[in-house]
Amino acid sequence: MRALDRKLVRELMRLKGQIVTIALVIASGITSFIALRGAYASLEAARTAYYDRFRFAHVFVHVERAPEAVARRIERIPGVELVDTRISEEVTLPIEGMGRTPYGRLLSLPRSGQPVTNALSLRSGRLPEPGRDDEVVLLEPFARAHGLEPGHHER
Amino acid sequence: MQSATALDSRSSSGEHQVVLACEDLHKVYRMGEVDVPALDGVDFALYSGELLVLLGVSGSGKSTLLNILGGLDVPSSGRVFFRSAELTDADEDGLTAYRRHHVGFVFQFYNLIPSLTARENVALVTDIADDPLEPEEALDLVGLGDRLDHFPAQLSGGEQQRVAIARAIAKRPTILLCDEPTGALDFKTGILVLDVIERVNLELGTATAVITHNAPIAEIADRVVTLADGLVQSERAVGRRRKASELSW
Repeated sequence: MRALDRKLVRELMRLKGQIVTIALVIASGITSFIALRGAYASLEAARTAYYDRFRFAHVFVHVERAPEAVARRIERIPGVELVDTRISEEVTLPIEGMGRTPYGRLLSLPRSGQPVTNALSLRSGRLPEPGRDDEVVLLEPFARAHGLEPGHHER
Repeated sequence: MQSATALDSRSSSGEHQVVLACEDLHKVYRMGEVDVPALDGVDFALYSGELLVLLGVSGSGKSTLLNILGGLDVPSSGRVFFRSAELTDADEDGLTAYRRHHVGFVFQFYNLIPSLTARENVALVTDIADDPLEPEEALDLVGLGDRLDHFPAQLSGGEQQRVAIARAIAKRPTILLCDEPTGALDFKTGILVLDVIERVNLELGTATAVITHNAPIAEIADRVVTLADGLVQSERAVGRRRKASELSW
């Protein structure tokens, strides 16, 4: 072994405590980086899969008093794959037992089945039956906050 | 310098040939707006096989001259020759080849590698030199044949300086340049070190230049050159070289 190589080996041996510490710091940094990258990729994949499964819309547009025929015109715009329309209205929600009347937003649903875009993920209960005008689907946090269960009846 | 090849060729010329020379050498250090001249037109020659002492007070330009002669620094103007090759024409690679093959340096502070033994410190040079002495042989020559495996911390100052000398001569240099080799040593140890330098000069025939501000050391030389204010003030041949062991100061 050449003298310069001996010098390197001896100095590495002398600094082995520091070298091991530095190696551990680097290893933990790399481990954290890989774990965070993995979690990020996993979250991104889960989000993409969720959006695909429930056909989450790419673009939302609010128009006032627009006839349904506008949807057909929008469908003809190059690049537009699918158009779905809803009626969206802000309303008061007089719920029994609540001191102050809350505001809420009502979104229309198709007469039967899931919407073409932004499908619903039902956590419990069922979708409104066709033809019924006294059934609604509630957002889970709203229902939980007000203790509303499937089958609850509000006058 | 003409070429690295020219430097690498080892002369077989006889004694009293000029091995190292400089003409009208100037060196100016620029300190901001101020120019500080260190050498102011030095003419100098070192002959093969001789032991030369460069004498001068601090700031006289001795170390600057030695650094330029050893290829560690470049002059502001003037010419430096190693045999027939002009060092002032040399590029970095040429100067490196010159230092590697032809010059041994000994400094006031030993610059040994603390994590290597005496033998390994010398081997640093023999690993890369052409036709070197064996490290053991070089250490034996400086009287440290029985301290081969000692680390610098286990050696006295004088012994460390002798290891530094062994390292400098292990490549069989043409020139040995010593900058205040006894500057950090007490009298007794200094004499031991000078004795080794003297022996290397006599036994290997290495042209040797010793820088010192200590005038009695000049007695061991063949020739003494005195520098003052960046100029050669005087030059004299010593009639009879005294042995280092006969010196006192």
